[in-house]
Amino acid sequence: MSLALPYARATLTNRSLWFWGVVFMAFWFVLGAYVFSGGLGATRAAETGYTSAWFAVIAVFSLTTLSMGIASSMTYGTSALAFGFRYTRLTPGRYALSLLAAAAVMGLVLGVVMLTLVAGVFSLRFGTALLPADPAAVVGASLLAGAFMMGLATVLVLVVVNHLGLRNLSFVEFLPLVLSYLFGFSQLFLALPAWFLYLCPWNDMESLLYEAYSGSPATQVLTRGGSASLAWPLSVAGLAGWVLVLVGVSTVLLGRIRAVSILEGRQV
Amino acid sequence: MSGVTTPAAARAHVEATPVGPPALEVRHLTVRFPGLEADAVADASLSLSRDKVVVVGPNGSGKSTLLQAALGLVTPASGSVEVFGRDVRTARAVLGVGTNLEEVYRLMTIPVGRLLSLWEDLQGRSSDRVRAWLEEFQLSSVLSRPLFRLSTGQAKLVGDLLAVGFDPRLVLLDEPFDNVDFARRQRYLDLLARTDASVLLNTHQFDLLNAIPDWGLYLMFEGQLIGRFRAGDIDRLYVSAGELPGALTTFTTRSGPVSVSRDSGRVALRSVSDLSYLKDRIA
Repeated sequence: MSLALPYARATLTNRSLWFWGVVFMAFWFVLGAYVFSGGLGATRAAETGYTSAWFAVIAVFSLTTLSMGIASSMTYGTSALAFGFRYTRLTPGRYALSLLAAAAVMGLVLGVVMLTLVAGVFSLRFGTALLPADPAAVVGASLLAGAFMMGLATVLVLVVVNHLGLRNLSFVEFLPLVLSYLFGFSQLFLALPAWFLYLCPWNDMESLLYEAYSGSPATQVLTRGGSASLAWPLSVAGLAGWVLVLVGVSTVLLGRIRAVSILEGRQV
Repeated sequence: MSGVTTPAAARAHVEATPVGPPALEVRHLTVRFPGLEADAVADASLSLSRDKVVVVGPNGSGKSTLLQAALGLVTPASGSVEVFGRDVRTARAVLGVGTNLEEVYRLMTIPVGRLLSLWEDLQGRSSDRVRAWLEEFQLSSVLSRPLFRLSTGQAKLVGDLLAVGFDPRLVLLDEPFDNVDFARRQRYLDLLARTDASVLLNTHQFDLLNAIPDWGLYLMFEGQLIGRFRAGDIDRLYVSAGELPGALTTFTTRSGPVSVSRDSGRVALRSVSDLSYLKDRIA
């Protein structure tokens, strides 16, 4: 029995992930469609770009929530992992891949739900069908983005377990979300250099998701149509590079995992 | 019991097993926890090769820490632990080690039945034997519940059975009889007697020793491992304050040296029902 299957089942039935990954994000879609859309030019291109930008940003937030939720559960099983790597056939690589697979399954399901929500809410708001231009590309970009977020979350949790102590988990847990907000919103309004956008994984995710939904190349400033276009192969390369680095680092950190008591994480 | 090796078969298997490195080799192990003055385990050494030993000591004497060090769950300050010749710090995929420590089975929150399937995959061994034992121990109802939903005694027994259920060559047991009723305790002792694995068993219960007279015996006190004796000799062992001439061994406690002798001494070890009070008794 593979580990990926029980992990996928556990994530799919996790109410907390569904709430913060879907329900809370749906709330943002409603805000985006009905509150923040004032002053938007009434053209098909403007509406498509606006919808795609919201989808890209919120999908990244959702994947962040999902990944941190899955990775944090490792803190309950540090002894099992320390034992498992020594005295069973479980390997750090196999475990890391199981987490990735679980995130991919949950990411796919969330992706479909998010796509449906975005298409539904924004189409209703603008009175025209704003469907994703390339659903297959959306799925591909979501998988790659999910792999990055899962790798990042795993590395962060393992740094806490192995080096910082569990009391710091509640602080570190928010880092990916804070970075997602920072970089996610920056590409919406700021003219960042192209090399930075290719190197920054959050912007790679946003650019790829934007292009997959809209069918048009992402631009350096997503809300400004005239800014320079970004090349999706470079975004894919940048993001894939980050995924490889994070999977490698997390595998090394997993191999050195320290057995800690979950009670070490108690704050009060 | 179904699936249990008979004593004769076990002996034959042991005799047929080629001589290799010891199942467990602990050399001058010291474990220190931050914020604590005393070492949890202090310069402990032990070698276990195809035999069974019991470590007896009061609560907090370091028995569990010794076992956790052998499982790679705590990091030694100094010394080393090897399992089948492999340094525990760097050991990978050393199959055939079983334990009843519940925390090593908390890879994820799943019912015991699915945990068995998962362990079957991770150990590369069938879980049929454990499933049969669960039935014999009248524990079939646990299959649909996760470990944390079981009573303390049930969880302990499930851990005990998992420890010996996947053809282990080394079994490390921490207080396997805590909260376990007498009948099931006897059954499990029978099961341990029949296994051909090397066994290290921690307990604070002296009464257990009469049931396993042929096992090796160590005392653990203030992190020190004292021995090796024979469990069947428990009635002949005495402890005394100071360095007694002709003592089997002498060790140093925070209140001075203590000697262990055979057939005479200040206090008969068997009369110290709780080793926590050993110091008071021999003072």
